[in-house]
Amino acid sequence: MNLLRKPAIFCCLIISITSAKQLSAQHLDEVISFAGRQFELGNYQLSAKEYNRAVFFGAENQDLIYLKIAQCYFNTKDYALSNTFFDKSYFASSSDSIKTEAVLGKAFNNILQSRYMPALTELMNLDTMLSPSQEIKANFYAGIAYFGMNENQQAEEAFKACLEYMGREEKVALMEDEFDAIRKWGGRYNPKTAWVLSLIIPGSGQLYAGEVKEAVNSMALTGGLLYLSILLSRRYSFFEAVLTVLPWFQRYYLGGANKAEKYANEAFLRERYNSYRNILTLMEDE
Amino acid sequence: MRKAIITCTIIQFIKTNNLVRIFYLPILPLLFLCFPNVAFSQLHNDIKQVEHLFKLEEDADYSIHLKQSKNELEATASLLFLFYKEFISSQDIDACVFYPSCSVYSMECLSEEKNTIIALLKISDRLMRCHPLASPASYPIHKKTGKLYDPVEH
Repeated sequence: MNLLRKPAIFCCLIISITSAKQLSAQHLDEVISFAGRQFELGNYQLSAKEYNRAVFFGAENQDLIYLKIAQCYFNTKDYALSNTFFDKSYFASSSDSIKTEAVLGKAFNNILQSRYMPALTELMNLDTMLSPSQEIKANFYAGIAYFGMNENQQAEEAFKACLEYMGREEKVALMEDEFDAIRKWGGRYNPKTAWVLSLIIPGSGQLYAGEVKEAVNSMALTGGLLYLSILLSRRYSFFEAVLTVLPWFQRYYLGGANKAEKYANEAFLRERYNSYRNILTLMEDE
Repeated sequence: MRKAIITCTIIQFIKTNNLVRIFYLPILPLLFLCFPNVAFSQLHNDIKQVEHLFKLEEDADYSIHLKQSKNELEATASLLFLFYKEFISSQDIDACVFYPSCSVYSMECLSEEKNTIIALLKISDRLMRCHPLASPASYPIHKKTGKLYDPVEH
């Protein structure tokens, strides 16, 4: 019996170690598959938690798992955490394609947060050899980022390159027309011009920005206060008129100029949004 | 996403493998044609997500106070408030140090406070506190406007 004890213990140890390893491997696969199912179902928080668990226990293809975790956080609109995992995926991966996906994901995160300069900085890190779908995405993101920074020339080039990669050459001319229109109205609404105009003639800045009702309102208010000051200076004295009306007059005179600047800026942003919608319509596939 | 990763992996294989490197250029368009919907569907999703960018925020709808007024006093106050907002405040400098502004605070106070006397007392208190020397240490800062945050408290 003593002769058999040692081999028996050895066999038991071997069996337990191998089975434990199998169990561990199965368990990680199950965790990843469960996380994948939760991702498909839209339970992104749970999916991220399970993917994190898989990474913690040393699952293979960590770069891909980090990419999935980043997408989970992206879908929950936690862009800062999503960026962290895109970074982790980038540094954990030796594959250019996964690195590119991580960079594109991070750039898109920044665009959704209106951080256009960081988005462009990310896009600069991209490999020169990209797949067509990655070229489309990279150019599209670059176009939006440049458009957000009012760099219309670069935005036009990026959007046109995107259309060319999509094989929609017939839309390139339409894109050029859209950007020509942007250049035309681009100088039309200058907030500083509106401000100066309103200082010269109250209400004229509002008219310049296309706000007729506000222009009449501003003219009536400042005109009324001016009339009151003349009336008071005739009836009493110039000093009393200044003392009583000037504080009100300066409020509505300067307020009108500030509002004219705001309306001009809003008009610019409204036109820009309309152009942006047109550009997106052009980019949409029929 | 899965399709994109497959496409990327195949492209990576082509790029790193010397044997198929010479077929790289003819293979790439073929590969693209194999998954024509990948790029477009992904771009379509991206377009949906960036639609709201550059959109102007709409101004607050103050007429809601008039619609929700429960009696003649509230309706009159709402009308006066609307007139002030539309014709006077719209031309004024941004002088109020608080968010929401004193006029909005007054309307909210009148509509939310059951006791009109207490509402009027609260409004008077707010108007007295609204001056350029109001202590920033006493109020939280409203992130969007950078003003002192002082909403109606119950």
